[in-house]
Amino acid sequence: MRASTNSWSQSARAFFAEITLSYKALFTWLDLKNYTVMKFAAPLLEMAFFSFLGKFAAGEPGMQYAAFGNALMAMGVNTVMGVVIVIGAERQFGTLSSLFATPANRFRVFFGRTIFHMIDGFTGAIIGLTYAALLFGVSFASANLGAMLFIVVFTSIASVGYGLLLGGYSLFSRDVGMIMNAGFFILFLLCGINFPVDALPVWLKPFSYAIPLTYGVMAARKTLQGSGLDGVGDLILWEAITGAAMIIVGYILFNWFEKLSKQKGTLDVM
Amino acid sequence: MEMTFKTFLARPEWFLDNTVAPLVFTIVALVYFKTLQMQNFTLYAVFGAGVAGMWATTLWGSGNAIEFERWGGTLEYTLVSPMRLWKVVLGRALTYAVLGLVMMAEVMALAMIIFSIPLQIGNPIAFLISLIATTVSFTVLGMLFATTFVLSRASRSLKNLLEPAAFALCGVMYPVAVLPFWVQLVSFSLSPTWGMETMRATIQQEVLPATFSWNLFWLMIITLIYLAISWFFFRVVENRARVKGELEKI
Repeated sequence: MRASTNSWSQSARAFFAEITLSYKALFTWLDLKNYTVMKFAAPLLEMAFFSFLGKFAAGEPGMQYAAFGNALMAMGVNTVMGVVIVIGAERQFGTLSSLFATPANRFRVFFGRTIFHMIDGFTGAIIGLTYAALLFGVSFASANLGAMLFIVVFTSIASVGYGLLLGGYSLFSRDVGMIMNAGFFILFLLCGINFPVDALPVWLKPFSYAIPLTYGVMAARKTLQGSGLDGVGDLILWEAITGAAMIIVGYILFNWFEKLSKQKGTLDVM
Repeated sequence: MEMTFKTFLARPEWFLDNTVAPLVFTIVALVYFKTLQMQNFTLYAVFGAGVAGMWATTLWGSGNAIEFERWGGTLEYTLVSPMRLWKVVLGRALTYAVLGLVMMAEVMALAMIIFSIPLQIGNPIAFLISLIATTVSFTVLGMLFATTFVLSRASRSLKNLLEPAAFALCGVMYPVAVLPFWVQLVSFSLSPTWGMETMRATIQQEVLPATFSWNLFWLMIITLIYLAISWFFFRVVENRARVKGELEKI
């Protein structure tokens, strides 16, 4: 019994050390100064661009719609930029071969890298929502803040599946930036960030509904109008299903790309 | 420039970067404008996406030119070579500005071929003059940014910040009049804003408005100011880089 408890705590310690170190080591450019810039300034500028574009198109309501959507987009940014970078950076630092030579549990390696980005995505969304309220006139007067908070937490977790799906490919390809940018644009286009999903062409809608963030954004918009969790239950359920599916598919692809890059000898190709 | 171009082509991803990325960006812009049933579709969506692509390429080029050297451990050698750093950076920035022009042409071609959007330029000669002036301005801006990229190991973060900054502040896809007044003051101190204003005027009308010459004048004046600042910064940077001795720090 004692041995099993020790083993469990050792395992938990190792997992925590791994998620902390992988975050710190693979995000070397994120020292406090850089982190602050990327966390506070870049999202504000992105939000400003889309919000003013919304204002140009549809006046103040268009601006507020885009500002709220872009505040939530911080979770998407983290899942794409964060998760793809931490996997892709192993190649850049030349540690990918060493990582795959270890007998470490692949799921732990794979999933552990996302933990900090869930927290980061959550804080990003809170910062974004604050900007939306203070600078872009989004009113939270009738919002159900408790339900909104729950959805932001839940979406931060569910969104990492999308990042893992793309991150697996960065094991095989050396062009992490390309994957990241494409993944990023897809979220902007498909997830109801700047305009409702209903406004998209019919052929694009199925892709929208395959992404967890779409449901998170829809649910959060409902809570902004005062809806409680009971009013967004179906959206949360779909978000959970699509999020879990992406994590599973992402993990399968991660293993497949690991095998493929070993076969092709592309692990350390820069 | 030749070396930069060869380095650019040596990356097999150049094809993806220069076809898929602009395609995705154009699709986003076009779907966005179409969905919101916005007016001035060609003017803002197509040319806006084109200039955004130009800007991103120039910024990517000037930022990565330094960052890749840092990662490759060759930045020190570049700095101590007999060629002055500003000349090295000018060659790179100019190459990427020209590649940015190719990207713009690609976006316009995509809009015409895939989305069947007719593109008409009211005054083609004036458009060409504006385009050249804007390209020169982007090159000088790229040089200016490169000076900070040399000293700072945070060049990637700066690059990530400058890209949305130009999109948001310079009226790439909307007129700057949409921005709050105090933000407009910042916008008009940035050369891409004037570049966009001049280009839009040439696209809209055959007979140019009186403001065209004035906007072109300001574009050139601001570019010259950037040039003077970057000239000064290059001298400071070369000196400081040697004093600090942290060029290879990543």
